[in-house]
Amino acid sequence: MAQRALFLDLETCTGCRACMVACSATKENLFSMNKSRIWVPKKEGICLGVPIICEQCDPAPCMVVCPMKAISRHARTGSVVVDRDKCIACKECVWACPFGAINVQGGVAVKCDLCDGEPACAEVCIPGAIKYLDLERPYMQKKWKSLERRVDALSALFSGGS
Amino acid sequence: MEVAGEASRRLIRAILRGKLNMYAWAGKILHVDLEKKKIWKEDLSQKQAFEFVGGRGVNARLLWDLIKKPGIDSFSSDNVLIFGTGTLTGTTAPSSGRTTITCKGALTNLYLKTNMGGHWGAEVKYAGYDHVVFYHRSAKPVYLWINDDQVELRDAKHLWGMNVRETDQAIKSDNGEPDAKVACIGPAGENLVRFASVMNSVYHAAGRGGAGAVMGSKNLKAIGAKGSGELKLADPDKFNELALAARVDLSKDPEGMKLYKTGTAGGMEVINELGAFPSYNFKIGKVEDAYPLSGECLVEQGYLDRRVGCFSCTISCHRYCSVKSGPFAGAASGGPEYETAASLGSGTGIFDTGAVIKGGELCNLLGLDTISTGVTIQWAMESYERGVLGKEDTDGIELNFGNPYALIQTIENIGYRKGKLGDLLAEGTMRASRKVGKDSWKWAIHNSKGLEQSDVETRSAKGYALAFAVNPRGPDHLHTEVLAEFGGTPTRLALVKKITGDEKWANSHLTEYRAELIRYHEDVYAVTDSLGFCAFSSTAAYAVNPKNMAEMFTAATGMRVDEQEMTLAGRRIVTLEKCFNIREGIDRKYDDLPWRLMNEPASPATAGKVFMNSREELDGMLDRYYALHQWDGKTSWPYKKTLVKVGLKDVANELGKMNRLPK
Repeated sequence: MAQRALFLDLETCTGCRACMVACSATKENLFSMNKSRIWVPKKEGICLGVPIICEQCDPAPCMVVCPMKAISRHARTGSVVVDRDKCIACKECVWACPFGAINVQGGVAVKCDLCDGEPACAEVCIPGAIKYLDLERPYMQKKWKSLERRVDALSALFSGGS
Repeated sequence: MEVAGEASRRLIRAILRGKLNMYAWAGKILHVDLEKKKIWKEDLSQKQAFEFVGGRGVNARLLWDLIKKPGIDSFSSDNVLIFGTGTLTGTTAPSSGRTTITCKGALTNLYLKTNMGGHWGAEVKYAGYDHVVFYHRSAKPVYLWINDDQVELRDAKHLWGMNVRETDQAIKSDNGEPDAKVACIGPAGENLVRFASVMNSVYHAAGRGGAGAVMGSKNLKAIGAKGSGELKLADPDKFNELALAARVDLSKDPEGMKLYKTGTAGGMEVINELGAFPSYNFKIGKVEDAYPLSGECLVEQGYLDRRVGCFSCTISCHRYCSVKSGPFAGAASGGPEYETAASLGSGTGIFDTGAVIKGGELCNLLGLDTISTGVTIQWAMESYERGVLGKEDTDGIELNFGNPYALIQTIENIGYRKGKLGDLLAEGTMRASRKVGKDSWKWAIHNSKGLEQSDVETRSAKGYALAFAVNPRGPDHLHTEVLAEFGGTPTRLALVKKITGDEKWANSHLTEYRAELIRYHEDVYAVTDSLGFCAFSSTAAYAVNPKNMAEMFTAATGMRVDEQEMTLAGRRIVTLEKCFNIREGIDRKYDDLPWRLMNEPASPATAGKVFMNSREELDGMLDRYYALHQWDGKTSWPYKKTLVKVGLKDVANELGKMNRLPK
């Protein structure tokens, strides 16, 4: 089976954050911005939202730095997953992640696991800024382009001003 | 059929026995006494939340309870300012992030509910509060900072005078929370401009009625919020399933799709073709070229930078636009919406996209309601052209229709109450026309309540005419939308058939069955606002409806209600809002329309027909409307038995003591 990945489009994102609530609802059974695995920092003065989520890197820096070997790749979905039992919440992975897509909650590292192949964020994103697509070559190029744009936007976001 | 049915009585008994957990609501009301600098938290009454749903409904109940003495001035220290988040705000329900602000309005001195989108409401709920209530007046400028449990009033001396964008940024950086959400006023609110708005997430306005001026009168600059908490629902799996289905329905709705593609200003040329595009202060209904003001123009001519969504919204009708060239290059702002483009554009005879974006930006930064701002400037332009206002009154401004520079300068003057003209217009059309006198009241587009009418042509839309007349805050489309009366889509036709028995009543020129259509939409609108939904999701698109609202409410709160009970809760809210105004002393004669819309047709005649509203027509619709509500036709006041039936017995008692129940 072809592997699939999340594609996030900065231009289409309306910054509504429905993905964030849907993520916390799916993963934690409650509704909270803080419990979400996806993150949409915003610059409200220019109405810009930048969707940020684990890119399931390969090789994955978080997996490389984990002293407990608690992070591995899921065979079917290709997602990078944390073994709750092995994790000691040392935050090495949090520091290693280039996108800020992992954090520690309740004594364990949490991150996107692609909802086991049915990502809730893509499901609720009506404008289609988050799509779950087959990992084929043209899409891969698109994915890197989208990532580049989002990273640029993100650094602009934190460079001050409203 | 009694309103409080057996099922809900059983529920209320369970609530009173303390048997139900609180879900969906954050469960707390935050009270802030600005004079004594006292802050306290109170549990949200579960019974009240059940009866009045949340947001707008609970706000209405709080206002009724907190302002007992009729006749107080909206700027007096006794006025209260209530912020209420929706019951479903902060969840995955589509377009559910809206917040209602309730107080006595600065323009009307009557009931005011004004509603805003953006992201502030969800943040406040995550911080743990459903409602925030402000009492009295602070001696010095302050702002409220909410960071979960930590709530404090802070000095706002350094923020006073700042525009909305600056205020937002300053509060975020002062607190080191770039992701905080800020609701604030701009200079217009500080200067008590009677139609100052409350803004949140920078460009989302609670514009109508002057809640911003009331906030300014309390010396309250802003409410910053950061919430790291969570909301729990009774049945999250069921709720998510319902919410997702509603999201998908909404995304397939043609009206919803149109709003996404071209925004609220989309389809403006069609409205113009119908002769229903209010222009030149409601004198003209069809202009040569409406394109420059349309949502299509924003997209096609490169003004649109991006489409923007309020919290959890599937529609995302909000825009962010900028002007890239021409005299207004550099202007950039959220919007412009239909109402902004119509009131600052066609209403003033300025068909210049850049000028409208610039004007909209100024209104947003100063914190001004674009509708009242535009309609007031239109009044001044007509007065100037008729010689009622001279150059000595306008501080030398050539205040002719079609002059974009006059528009921009006047907006700024209003925001700062600068000069003779700015100070006059900052009072709104009712007070300004009284002051100027002569016949100027005839082209002042407000009704007896005192609010400027929004840019909707009511002379060829009788349902809207009725809705505008009975709206407790004054004539606009935000108490009841009734797009169904235009027909055109299968959903609208089906709804009209359901309410009236026949699709043929989907015709906005008819007066028959307008009362029935209005009352249905009015109930739905009240529930929509109270749950935190956007009116576009339920009364423009119809994907959110009483049935799925009842289902989502049930899954979210664990309190089982059906479709009928949901709409009856809406009626309870609408009735209570009416009662607030009755306590203030108003009666049927306040349910009217601006003089021009009753006496002068818009030109040119469309397809040889002249459209007008008449006293007889309006009276006929009003009679039917009051009768449907079981309110007295002579005074428009509800009978005691009506109030008891909708569960407002204590309200009936209070009005009885004041002699405000019909004989």
